[in-house]
Amino acid sequence: MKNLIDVKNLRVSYHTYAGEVQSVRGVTFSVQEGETLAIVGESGCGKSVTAKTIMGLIATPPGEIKEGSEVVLDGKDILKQTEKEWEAYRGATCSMIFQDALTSLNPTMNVEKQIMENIRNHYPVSKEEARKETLHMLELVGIPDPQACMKKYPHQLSGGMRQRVMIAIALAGKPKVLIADEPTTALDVTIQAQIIDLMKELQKKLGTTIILITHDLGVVANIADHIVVMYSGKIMEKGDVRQIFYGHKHPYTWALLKAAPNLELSNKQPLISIEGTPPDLIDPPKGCPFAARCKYCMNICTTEAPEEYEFEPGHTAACWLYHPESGYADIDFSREGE
Amino acid sequence: MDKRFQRVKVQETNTEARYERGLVGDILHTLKGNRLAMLCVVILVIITLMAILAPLSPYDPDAQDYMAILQPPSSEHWFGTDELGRDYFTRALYGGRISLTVGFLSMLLSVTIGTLIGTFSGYMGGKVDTLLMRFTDLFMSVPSMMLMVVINAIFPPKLYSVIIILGLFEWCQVARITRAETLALKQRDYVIAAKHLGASHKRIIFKHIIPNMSSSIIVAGSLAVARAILTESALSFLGLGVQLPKASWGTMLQSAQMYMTDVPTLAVFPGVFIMLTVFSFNILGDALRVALEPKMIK
Amino acid sequence: MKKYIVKRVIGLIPLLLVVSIFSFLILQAAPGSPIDNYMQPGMTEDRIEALKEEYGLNGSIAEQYWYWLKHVLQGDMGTSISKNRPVTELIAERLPATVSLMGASLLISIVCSIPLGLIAGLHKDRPMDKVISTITYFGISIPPFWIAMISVIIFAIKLRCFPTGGMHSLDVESTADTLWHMVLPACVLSLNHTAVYTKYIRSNTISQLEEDYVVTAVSKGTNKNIILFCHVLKNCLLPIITLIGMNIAGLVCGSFIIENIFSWPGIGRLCMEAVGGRDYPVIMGYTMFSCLILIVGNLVADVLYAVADPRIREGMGRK
Repeated sequence: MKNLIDVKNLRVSYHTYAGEVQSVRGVTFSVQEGETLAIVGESGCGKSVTAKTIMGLIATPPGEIKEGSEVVLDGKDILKQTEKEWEAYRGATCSMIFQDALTSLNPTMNVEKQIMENIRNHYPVSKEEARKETLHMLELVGIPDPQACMKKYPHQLSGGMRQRVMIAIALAGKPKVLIADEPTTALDVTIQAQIIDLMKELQKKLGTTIILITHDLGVVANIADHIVVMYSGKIMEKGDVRQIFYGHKHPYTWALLKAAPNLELSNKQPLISIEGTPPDLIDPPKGCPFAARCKYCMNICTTEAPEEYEFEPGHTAACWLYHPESGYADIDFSREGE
Repeated sequence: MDKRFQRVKVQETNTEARYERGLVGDILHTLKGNRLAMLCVVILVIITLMAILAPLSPYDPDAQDYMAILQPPSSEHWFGTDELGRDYFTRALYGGRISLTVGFLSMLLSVTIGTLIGTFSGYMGGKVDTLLMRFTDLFMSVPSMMLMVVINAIFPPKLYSVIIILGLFEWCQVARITRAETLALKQRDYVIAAKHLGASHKRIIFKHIIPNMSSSIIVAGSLAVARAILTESALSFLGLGVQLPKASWGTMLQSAQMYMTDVPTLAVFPGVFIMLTVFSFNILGDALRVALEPKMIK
Repeated sequence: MKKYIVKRVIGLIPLLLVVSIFSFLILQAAPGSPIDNYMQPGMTEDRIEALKEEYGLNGSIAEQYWYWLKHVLQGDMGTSISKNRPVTELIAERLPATVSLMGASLLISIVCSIPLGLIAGLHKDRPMDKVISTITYFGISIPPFWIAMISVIIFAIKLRCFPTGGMHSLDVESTADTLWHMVLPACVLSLNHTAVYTKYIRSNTISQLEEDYVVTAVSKGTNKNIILFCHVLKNCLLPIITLIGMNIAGLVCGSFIIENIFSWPGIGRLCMEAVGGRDYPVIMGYTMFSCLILIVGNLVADVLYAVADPRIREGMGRK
């Protein structure tokens, strides 16, 4: 399969009252056509900023996409697009759905108009055709009685229905890429599963490439093909689902997986958390950002940024443990943890 | 083995501290960053100093000189003279004393009443809260200026009665702000802790809640002074506020009305003073609100 | 919808009651008994008693209030002492002038503040915004009566392009003439409100532009200008309706001052004349009527808002 998107050395900063916040600090990854790529990490790790950059939603100022960053989609560096090209790109090539569907929908505009807007922005169709297409989209996302839903306002729908409408809006422009920024976080658990299943099903039907931004590893395991683990603006580890869940190499990935609540834990065991807080991105540490919280931290981790080591094709981790001279290359986290 | 790969334990550095500045520090920082607000402070200081130092003027504000009535501005009389030959600049200085006094005292009154009602209402919650807030809403929708006119029309106003009436009609906004803050503060851990430690309601309100709203109260106070000075000047202009022989800027404008065809400067100067003062308090209040707003992303 | 209006009206009754009690108590506390106003020299005790009976002045304060309220509800607000005519009649005569002045100034405020506020909000923190915001602060800080005086000096006395006051030129009765007379007072009256609305629309535009739904619209590839006019504008202007309703109190007070400076023959001027002559029934009539304008204005604003906002329209349907 060929790469649809190549993100190369992406660096994004925000200029704030307190100083320059380096949200994304040199991120490189690719997304294959038709797959689902998940970007996981704690809040503030730069995963949303990365997604917004691909969507062209970074407001400048206060944001700034640093010189040398590249996002290549279908052979074209989208960061160099003009405003007109962005308008044509957003919605038709790349769409986005957001965490909170209630605030992301216009409260005083009915569902029909909000979906039709996307269609008519990109395709020269008549109102009638657009309406038909809207109805079709609502059917596609599994809304019961789509005819009635068209005339409704966002506050009249339930949380799950609203997220379905969001998806309908995003897919109405027939985009190649759908970016889902924490699409299930604001929903009840049962609805979460429905939305994830819906996304899977739609991907199968429409062949859309999905970039999923989440901190929920359960969701990731369910839907993702490849995973990128981010921490404080950098990629810690990337690989396919099997590699990340069963063959993870980075202490952060291990800690993240361990911290996920697990039904198999006996109820006497306390929930595990990662001690400490992520570093300050205004003045990021010189070495590995995770050093301060890492159980395996070594001298070099605090002074030099780790190199990336490849284990299998596509599976890499940025960690000094795998330096040939470290002597920890065959570390087994599961035993160390005890 | 290579020393670089020795395991170490890294101490986390605390990065929170640099954002803390304290109330006074915050205010100073705002003024430094906002040139307009700084200018307003300078204007207010100058006007206040002028009012305080008014007796240094070589003229008596009430000394009449029939040889020199309604003179235009000159080097001798900076603002000219009024219909009785009094030095208009000196009168404006003394007028500032009255206007500022009325503004400040009525603000103190309205802020006190507003804070007490707002905090009490928010702290008690339930029916008391509902009732008090209904009352506040009612008070807010009354055209207060008109009622003041009616009261002052029937009972000849004195300086202190003007202050009290202004204070009594302006507390509603302060009450709403402090109530909202109290509702939030009530949920804070230290208030809950104080409650469980057996602190009395009075102690919690006065020691834990009100001091923590000081920034909002300062903002509300600044805007309240502006409103009070504006309302006082309007009342005095209608002849229903500060009464002669005491003259505020509003009263001066009332007398100037008769001569505005011939000596328009009489109408200009006191108005400029009112406008500058009110403008400065308004700008300052809003600048501080932006700066002191809790947890505002900067 | 009907239910909603009824509910709002019921909610406004306490305001009217409080104001009426207030007016009544003021009248009671005023120096001299109300009966003095009707007495003529040389009246006998019996005659005075009969008068008291006639005007409901026997009995406790509560009884007197009830008597007075009953008459007010029947549209009888007493008789003007100085003009010797029913207060209701006097007010009805002057009301159109006041309402048209208020309406004109409201129109000016709305027409000016919407573009100003939008432009300032869109150019947040840029020179354009700073200029508009500073002007706005002046608008809020300038005493309306002072700007009235200054504008009379400039436009009426120096430039002679507008009349100094009144509603008609001598012996002329035309709409154009009235409008010409209305320009200065309406503009001056609108100044303060224009500033308040501009400030509000500005901050509203800024906060609406930061809403998530704007990001959604952007990510549909919608053009910036279309986002502004189709998405933001409506959500931004809806709350203005409520704000206008709330500001009617200010309009009533403002028109009181402006009418007096420009000798505009409205109810504010009537009241000021009454203040001079201690004509209490007229003062009270004015107070009650101003409140009525206020309440009607608030009600209209509420209903308009409910019609315009689907969230509230829906809420009414459910109840």
